[in-house]
Amino acid sequence: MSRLAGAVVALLALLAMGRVAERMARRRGDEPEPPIGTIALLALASMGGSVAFAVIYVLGGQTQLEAVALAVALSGLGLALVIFAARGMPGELVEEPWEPPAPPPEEREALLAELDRMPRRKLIGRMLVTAAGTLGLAGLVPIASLGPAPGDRRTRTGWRAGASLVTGDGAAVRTTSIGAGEVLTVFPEGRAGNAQDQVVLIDTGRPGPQRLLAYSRVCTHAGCAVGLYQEAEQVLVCPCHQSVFDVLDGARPMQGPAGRALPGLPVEVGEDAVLRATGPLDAPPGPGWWRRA
Amino acid sequence: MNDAAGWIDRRLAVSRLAPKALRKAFPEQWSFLLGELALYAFAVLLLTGVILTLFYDPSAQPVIYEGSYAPLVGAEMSEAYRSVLTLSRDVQTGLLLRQTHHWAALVFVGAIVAHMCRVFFTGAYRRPREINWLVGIVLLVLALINGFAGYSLPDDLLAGATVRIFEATLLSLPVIGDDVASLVFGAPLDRETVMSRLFVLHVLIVPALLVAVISAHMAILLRQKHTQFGHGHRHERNVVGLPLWPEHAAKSGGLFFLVAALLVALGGLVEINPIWLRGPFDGTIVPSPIHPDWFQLWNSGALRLFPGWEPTVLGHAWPLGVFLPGVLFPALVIGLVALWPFLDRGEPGVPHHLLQRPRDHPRRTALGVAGLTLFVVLTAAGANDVLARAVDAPVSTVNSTLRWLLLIAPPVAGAIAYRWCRALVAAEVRRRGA
Repeated sequence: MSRLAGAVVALLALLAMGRVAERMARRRGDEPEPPIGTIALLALASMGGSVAFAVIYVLGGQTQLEAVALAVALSGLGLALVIFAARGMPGELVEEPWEPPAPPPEEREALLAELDRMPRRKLIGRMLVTAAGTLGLAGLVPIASLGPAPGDRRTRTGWRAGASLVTGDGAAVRTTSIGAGEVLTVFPEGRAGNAQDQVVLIDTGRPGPQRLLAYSRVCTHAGCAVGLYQEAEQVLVCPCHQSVFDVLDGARPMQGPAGRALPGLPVEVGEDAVLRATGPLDAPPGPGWWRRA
Repeated sequence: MNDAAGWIDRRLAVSRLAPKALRKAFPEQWSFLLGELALYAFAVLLLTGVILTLFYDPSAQPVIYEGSYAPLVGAEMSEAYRSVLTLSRDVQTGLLLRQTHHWAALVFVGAIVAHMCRVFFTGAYRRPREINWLVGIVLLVLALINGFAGYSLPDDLLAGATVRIFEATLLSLPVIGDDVASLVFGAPLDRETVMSRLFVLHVLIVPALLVAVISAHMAILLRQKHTQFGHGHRHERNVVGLPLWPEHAAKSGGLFFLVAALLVALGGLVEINPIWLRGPFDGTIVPSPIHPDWFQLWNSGALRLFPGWEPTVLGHAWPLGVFLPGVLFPALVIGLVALWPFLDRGEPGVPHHLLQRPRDHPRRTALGVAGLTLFVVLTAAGANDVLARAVDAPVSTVNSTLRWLLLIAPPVAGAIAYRWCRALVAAEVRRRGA
């Protein structure tokens, strides 16, 4: 927000400077006597700023001081020029006639006569244009080299039946790794840290099958990581555009611009209390695209 | 100076053209300097940007940090992030350079928008200047693209999330979305390729286009001459102003130094994008609150307010909840703005060189005010999480309020602007009559 304020201040300051420069420049009269003293002072201040900048740099540098020194150097020079322009120059207005942007008819006819010297051969012209067009289109074809056909790369993840859940460090996730009301970012074994595979494991604290729920953590709206969990309302919130997903209802979007539920991952408690998936995600993770429904 | 001029003239024979060029008239009015403001902000961007390129490493290769910033020692990060972190904390004047560059980008886009507003509200886009209006829209789009590419380069948490959202936007294109996203990103879910592509876009392709298009913009302006307000002895057949040499050159040169001074002051005194506080990109972490730079808040706001909608169309699921606010809406807005000179032509067949006061064209002014209000509401929506925290209300309430505001505020603001214009004109008429 302070950046916004800073930008507004900057723009207003620049407009003000422009206005001042303008008003100062609106002077008349013959070669007036410029305020040499003021201009000399400004030039000296500018020199001081430049030297100060170099000295501060050599002494080790300090961002704020360097900025002030450089700003003084620049603005001294700038003001000196503006004041010189306003008070040291004749300032007489000049007047120019508008040339008609449309040239007089004789000129245009001469131009057309010159252009007419190209022989008018329809067949030749059409053949040449068609050849050039075909060449252009053919030249566009290698654009396909920019990237491979996507194939199933957006739908494929590391989740399949029997894949153990691991944390970002690769450690196995057990029933003891997570307490009531907590969430954990998990990945399939062997793909810790993979952004496409990331899943949020939630311990809702409810008894029975609704205790441990797992959903893809890639928002189905625009792909941001859905990192915010609100325990009281049992919802997941995406920070980018504030989509809200109902954890207890299959991560269905309740609010916000997401159009699809977060894909769910079926999990079970395996041997040694290690959690593992019993199948893949029930839908491709992340934002949608034009694909067969 | 005269010796140098003579030296050049003996080789290039410019003395015939030079006096006319040097006496070119520049109408004076403070708001005409907004374009120059954008130009000089761009100059600062180029200067600081070239130096930054010497320090930045566009690689997404992971490394372990072992530098001077203690909280991140031992953390895994991309080489790109490390290079920006090192520049910010270990290179003298590095942070000043980086922050000046970022501030210059914000001011650049702001100045373009302010300049566009001036041109819009004074009717300067009318014939013969439709071409330059279109050129200007191209410049705006290029600036927005480069702004997005630029703040994605440090590869911190915010940048990574933005790139992800950009991918989702591409995916939402009907039929071709998946393929387009794969082409742009080099592979689905691959970060290495997209980082180096954003780098090339930001450092080479778009700056080259910007320089070329800005040159075209100024060349057309010089050819067609600047518009002016009609007062005194100014009329549709003449241009009156200060000559290029020496008055305007000195004033403009001075303005450049003043703009540079302000940007350097901001760059050193007002912190911006402290990437070390957010940490390197990690696909499993997204900070909250999160929002892009100011000029993209309206996009984010549209994405936040639009309801989730993924209908089945022709047997395919189509994420309209992303496509409509993320692709179609911005395209329509920019398209409408670009075509505006052809929708509001003014008197047909006649060139217009005199500017109009906003109050003398209340309908256009009202429409412009309504458009700006819509933009402001969407921008506020882009920071709805910050707003919700500030007023201590749930985000859903903030969203509902903003949705109502989207519908109500623009027409209300437009109506107020309309009445105000008419009232101002009526007051003038009364003063003159009295």
